[in-house]
Amino acid sequence: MTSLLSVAGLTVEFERGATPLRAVAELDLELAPGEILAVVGESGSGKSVSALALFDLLPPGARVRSRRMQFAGRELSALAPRARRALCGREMALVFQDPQSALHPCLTVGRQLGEVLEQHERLSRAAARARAQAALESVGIAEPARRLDAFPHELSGGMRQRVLIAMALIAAPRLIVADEPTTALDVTLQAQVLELLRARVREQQAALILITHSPGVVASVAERVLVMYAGRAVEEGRVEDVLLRPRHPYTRALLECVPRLDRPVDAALRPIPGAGGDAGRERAGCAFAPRCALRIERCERERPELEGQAGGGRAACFRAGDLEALR
Amino acid sequence: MSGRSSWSALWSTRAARAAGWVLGLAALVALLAPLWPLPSPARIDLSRALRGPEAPWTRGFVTAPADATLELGAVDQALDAARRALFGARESAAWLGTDSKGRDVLARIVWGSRVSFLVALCAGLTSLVIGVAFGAVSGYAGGRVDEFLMRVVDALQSLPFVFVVIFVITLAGAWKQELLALGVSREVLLYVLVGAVSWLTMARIVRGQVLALRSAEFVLAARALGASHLRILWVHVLPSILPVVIVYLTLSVPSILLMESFLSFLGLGIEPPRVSWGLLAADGADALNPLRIPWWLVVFPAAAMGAVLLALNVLGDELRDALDPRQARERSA
Repeated sequence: MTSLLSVAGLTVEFERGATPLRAVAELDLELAPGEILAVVGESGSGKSVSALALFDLLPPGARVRSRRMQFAGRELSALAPRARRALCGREMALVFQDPQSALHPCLTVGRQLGEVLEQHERLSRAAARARAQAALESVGIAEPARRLDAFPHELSGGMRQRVLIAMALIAAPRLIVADEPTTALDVTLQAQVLELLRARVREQQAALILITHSPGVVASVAERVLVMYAGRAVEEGRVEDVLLRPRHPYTRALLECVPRLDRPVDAALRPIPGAGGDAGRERAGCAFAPRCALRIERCERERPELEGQAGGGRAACFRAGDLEALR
Repeated sequence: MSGRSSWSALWSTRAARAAGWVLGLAALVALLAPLWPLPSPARIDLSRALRGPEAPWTRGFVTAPADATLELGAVDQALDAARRALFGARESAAWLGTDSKGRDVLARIVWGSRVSFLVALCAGLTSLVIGVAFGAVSGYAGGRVDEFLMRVVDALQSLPFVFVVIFVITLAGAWKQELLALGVSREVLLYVLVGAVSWLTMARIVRGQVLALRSAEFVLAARALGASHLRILWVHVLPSILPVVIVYLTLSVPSILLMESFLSFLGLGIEPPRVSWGLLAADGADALNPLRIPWWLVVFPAAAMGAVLLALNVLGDELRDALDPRQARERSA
């Protein structure tokens, strides 16, 4: 399998006072063309920061290190800023979370879509407009010709998200990173947008990284899933394995926070005690230990590595093997 | 920015149209000043000093005495010749009165508007071009570049402006012939100086706005899709700050006009026989005394200045509204 995206040892630190704040630590990512990977985790687990690091969009105070950050065989960190920018939008695209603020309020939709093409393909404004119309049509917007002249505030939330997706897809990139593309939408729209993303990704043979905190989204779209906690990958595997037989106590706890139809109504949801993992403070042991029900003494001393588990998938937990028995 | 829709939105309001007409008319009158059958603004006739205004219908036109005309450029000479062909030796009587040296107030207002508009235009353009570019680069680049550029602005702003002007004008006086050979008269120097200070505040304002926008999500989104820095500044950032720029621009023009009048009043700006609105205001204020109040020396220049400034502010306000797509649509709906 030749991978489209291959990241090893990605670490992102922010300078805050004396000790740097480590938002992402030693993250590895492999993605094949056409694959859909979901990245799951609580707020502050480093999902979005990793995505921004791929696109070189972190604010100046951030330090990004990695052993390897290859996209289609090219080392991203070795590229000149200009060359890297040429990749963004054309070969790899990022879909932002909030369509309200990610679209420019004073530019028409057609203009914003056309911008991408004007930048990358040196198209004239008229040619870009024609392509923009086609792009709007492809994401299922009715009356695309009329919508081209609409301003973002004249569109509904779902339509705005579609426009954002159309913007990301317009230059037919090979990698799409969608940062919580459905969080700002209501449930019916979520399904539509996810289906749209999946269909378009399949059509273009592009790979998709879907950042989300909703296991429901993961189950409906992704093939592989990566669970992050406090800036580290804690579990990784095929969707069925991870969702049905989680190997990490955090993954299990996360799944138990979600209301489900196949459980009795009065079965209480179990929130994870304590606050989300503080990515900034490096602990000696496992970052999840303070909130973990299965904590043993070893968890406080040693940090578990991400290791292959019996039955496929990888998890970073000393008690991954016991989890099955405790079920 | 979708150009056409905002312009049509602008033109659809009555206030903007009125302001546009006033400004257009004022510009036309100023540009074609030599064409109008007016007395020479520099002709001194002490026998006719401080005459009150006469309505055009009581005394319309009089025969002009042959007088030394102003030094005019090639275009103005052509206009002057056209006037002679059209109106012969006729010129308007003192419709708006005469000042303490017997000069016609109407002619002085018209000719003075040329200088004042030029000063305002000069200051407006420098603050629009230099100020916006400087501020945008500073705010967008951030970090050390921002630090350095803003300290430059600080340094320039901390210079006491009047002393700098006195210094430069005096220095220029010593080199007058050499400078004139280069085509730099004292007036041009004045324009340059006014322009040099007028962009500083604009740079600050723009920098603050850009700083806030730089980390806006739509700018980040544009970067994620590969927009170059220049494109982000030009396409994504500048349209968003345009309303602020326009409002500040219209607000700064009155203070520029006042600055010119202040400098002329100190004898550092426009020299007679040239005239500007600032000089007119200063002359008018001088002529007022408890015994006799030549009100026309104050009222008419002030009215002209007031009308133009009001039109400018109205237009700026309407333009800002028209550039905001939300407001534009709401009004037309």
